[in-house]
Amino acid sequence: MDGFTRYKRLALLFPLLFVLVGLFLGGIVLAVQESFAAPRELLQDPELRAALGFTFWIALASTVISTLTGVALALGLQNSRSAMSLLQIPIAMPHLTMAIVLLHLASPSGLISRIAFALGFIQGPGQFPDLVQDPYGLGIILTYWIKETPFLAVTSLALLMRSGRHYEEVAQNLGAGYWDRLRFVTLPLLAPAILPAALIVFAFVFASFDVPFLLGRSYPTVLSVLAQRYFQSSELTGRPSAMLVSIFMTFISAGLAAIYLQVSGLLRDPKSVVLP
Amino acid sequence: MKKLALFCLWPVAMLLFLSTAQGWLWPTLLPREFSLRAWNFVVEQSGGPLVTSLSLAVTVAILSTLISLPAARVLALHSFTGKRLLLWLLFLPLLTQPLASAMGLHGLFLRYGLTDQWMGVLLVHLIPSVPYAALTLMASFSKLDLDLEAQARTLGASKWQVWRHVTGPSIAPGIALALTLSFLMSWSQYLLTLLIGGERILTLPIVLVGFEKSGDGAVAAAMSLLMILPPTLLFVISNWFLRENQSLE
Repeated sequence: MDGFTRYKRLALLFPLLFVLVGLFLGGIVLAVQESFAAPRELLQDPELRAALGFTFWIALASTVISTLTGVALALGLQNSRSAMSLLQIPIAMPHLTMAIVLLHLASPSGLISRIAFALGFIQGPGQFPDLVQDPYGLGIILTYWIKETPFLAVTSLALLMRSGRHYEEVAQNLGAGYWDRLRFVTLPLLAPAILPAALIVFAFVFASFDVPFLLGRSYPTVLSVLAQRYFQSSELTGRPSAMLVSIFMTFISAGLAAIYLQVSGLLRDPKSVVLP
Repeated sequence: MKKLALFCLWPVAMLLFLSTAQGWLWPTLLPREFSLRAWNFVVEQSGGPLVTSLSLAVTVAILSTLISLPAARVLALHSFTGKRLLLWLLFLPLLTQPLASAMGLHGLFLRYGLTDQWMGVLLVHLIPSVPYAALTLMASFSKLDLDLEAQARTLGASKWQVWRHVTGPSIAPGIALALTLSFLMSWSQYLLTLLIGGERILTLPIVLVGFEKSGDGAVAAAMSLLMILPPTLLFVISNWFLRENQSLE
C-alpha cells in the first residue's frame, strides 16, 4: 500500500472532485436555487403527471423485455466466443442512430408498413397502426429493446464464460433436466450480474432523452423531454419549472445509484463493476 | 452465428439502404433509384460538425483520463472516510443524464460567456465522461501488483521509471478503455450539447437530428453511419488490445 498522507490523497483526488463537486454538484445546487421560482400549480399539471407515469412505464417495460431476451440470447450463445465481438456493434451504436433506424422502419411510411401493404394487410399508410409517436410509447420501447438486449446478453455471456459449465455438468450428472438446470443452477449463477445490469438499463432509460425526443409524441412525453421543453420555452416560469422537473429526476437517479452500489458489490470489489 | 450476425448488422444495413435511397415513395418496397446524393452532401457539408465533434470527444477523452488517473489509484487502493459517498457521487452522473447540473450550470455559464461556446460544451461533457474513466481505471488499479512497484523501487528505479516500466504497462488496458468510453460519451452526446451549446455548437448529433426533423432522412442516415464508425472501430481495437494483453499474462 502507498504511504499516502491525508493531504496527498486529497491532492490526488482534487481533479476528480473539481468535476464531481464543482461541476456536477455545483450545477445541481444552482438548479435548486432557480427551481424555487417554479409555480406551485406545476405539481398539479396533468402534463407533468402524465409524463411521470409514461416515463416509469417506458423504463420498466424496456428493462423487463430486454432482460428476458438478453439472458435468453446469452444462454443460446453460450459456446461461441465470436458472439461477444459481434454483439459489440449494436452496443457501440449511439441511441440516436438506432432511433433513426426505427423511425424509418416502424413509421406509417416506413419499411414494415410497405411490407404490410405488399402483403395486402393494409390499403393505405393511414391504416398502419401507430408504432412511432404512439400514445403508449411502443416505438420508444422497441428501440430500447433492440439496443439494450445485446448489452444484457454480453453481461450475461461474460459471466457464463467465466464461471464455466462445471455446475451444470454436475447437475446433469445428478440427473437434472434442462429446465431444472436453468432454474436452480444457471439463473441463480447469473442473477448477481443481471440485477445490476438491469438496474443500469432502468436508470438509463428513465433519464434518457434522444429516443423519446425522436420517436415520441408531444403528449404524453417523458420527463427529460418535458424538462427540455420547459427550459426552452419563452415563458417566465419555464426555466424554474425545468429545474424542478430535472431535480426530481436527479432524486430518483440518486436512489437508483444507491441501490446499484448495494447490489453490484462494487464497494467490496471494484473489479466486479458492470459499466453501462 | 449467421443469425446473430444478421441480428447485429441489420441496423447498419438499414442505414446504408436509407442513405442511398432516392425517391422512396410509399408503398414501393424499393426506391426508384439508388444515389450518392446524401453521401456527396455529407462529404461536402459535414466537415465542420465532424471537426467539432472529434475535437470535443478527443479533448474530453484525454482530460477525463488525466483527471481520473490519480484519483482512481486512491479510490482503488485506499480506504478513507467519505469513500462510499464519493463512489455514490461517481455513479450518479453515470447512471443518469446530468440534466439538472447542465441546466443549473447554464445560468452560471451565461454570466461568464461560456454558453454557445466550445469550452462550455466541453465542461458539461466532462460530467458524464469522467466517471466512466474513473471507474474503468479503478478496476485496473485494484488489480495492480503493488509488490512489483516496491521491488522496482528497491532496485533503484526512479518514480518515472516505476511508472514507465511497471505501473503504466499493467494498467494500459484500463487506460485504453477509459479513453474509449469517455470519447464515446462525448461523441454520442445530444442533450447536454443542445442545452449549453444552443444550436451554435454544431456537433454531428445536433446536425443529424436537424436533418431528420426537416425531413431529409437520407442525409440523417448517412450521418448516422458516420457516427457509428468511430465507436465500432474503437471497440474492435480495444477488444484486440485486451486480447493481446490477456495472451501476455
